[in-house]
Amino acid sequence: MGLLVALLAALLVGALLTCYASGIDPVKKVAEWTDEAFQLKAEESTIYMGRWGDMTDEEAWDLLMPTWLPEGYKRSEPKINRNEAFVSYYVEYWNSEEELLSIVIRRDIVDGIRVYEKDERPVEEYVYEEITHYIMHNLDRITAVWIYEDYECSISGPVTQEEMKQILRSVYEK
Amino acid sequence: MKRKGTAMVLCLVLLAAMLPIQVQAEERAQIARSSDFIDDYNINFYSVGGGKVRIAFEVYATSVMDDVGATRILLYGGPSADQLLPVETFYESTSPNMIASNTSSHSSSVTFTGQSGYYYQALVYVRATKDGVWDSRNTWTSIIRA
Repeated sequence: MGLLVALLAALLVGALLTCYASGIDPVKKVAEWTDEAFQLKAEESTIYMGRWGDMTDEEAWDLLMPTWLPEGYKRSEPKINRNEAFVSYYVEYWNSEEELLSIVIRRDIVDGIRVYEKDERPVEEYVYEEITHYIMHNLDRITAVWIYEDYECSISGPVTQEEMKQILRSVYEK
Repeated sequence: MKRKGTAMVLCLVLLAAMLPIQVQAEERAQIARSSDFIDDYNINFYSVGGGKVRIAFEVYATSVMDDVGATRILLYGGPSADQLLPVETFYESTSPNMIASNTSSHSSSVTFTGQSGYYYQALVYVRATKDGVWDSRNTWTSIIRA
């Protein structure tokens, strides 16, 4: 009996270690949306126990930035915001018509709320590289939102749905 | 003649009374629709120790705005989570850095010194304004304990 308990305990510890090694976030976020807004909410009351992944923020920003954008956009200097509640990395891209395409990569250190504006058109769940990207419309803009390890990422801009998917694919094709 | 005059006055009064209702209806419709001015916004509400609570927010706009940020933050608190009363209101006019001008994003925070062990909840209003037209949203935070 004692051996059985020990074996079960070892299996459980092994499973947990595998979870952490593969970057699975035990505190999962669930997508919820209405006709007006979209959010990724933690399934349970969020207890932040530290980092799940072992990337630095700088490594995450390099990893999660797209390498393709529609022609004509020029990148501005990123704005980095670090405090005891969150770390955010915000980049603006402007085209010659003064249209803004923006990218935000954000890691919450304490529990937070993030609300994305959308209209009544349906949200598309675009799965690429086993990650679900939520693509939604906000009038003339398209926003894509996804989670990677500790980071909630978003891209918003006056692009088509197909252009947004191409932007998203370029994140992984490096 | 007198009756016609009275009828005209009554019509004018009725029309004038309907005007604010129409404006309110348009405002409600604007609030219910998606936003020309705001892409998304974030709010973190947390205890920083010593009875202090902090509301940190970020607002991301769809383009460069005349102003963008938080216009009001209403804070409710009390000894139990089911009996929260207003304790403080932060206004853009009196709290520095709640609003920024001529930018497409803004990030800031406000801090309230309350009582350790007390429960608090905040209602945050964010806004982006361009050429005299604005979009505003408001969100309740979760209840936290200082």
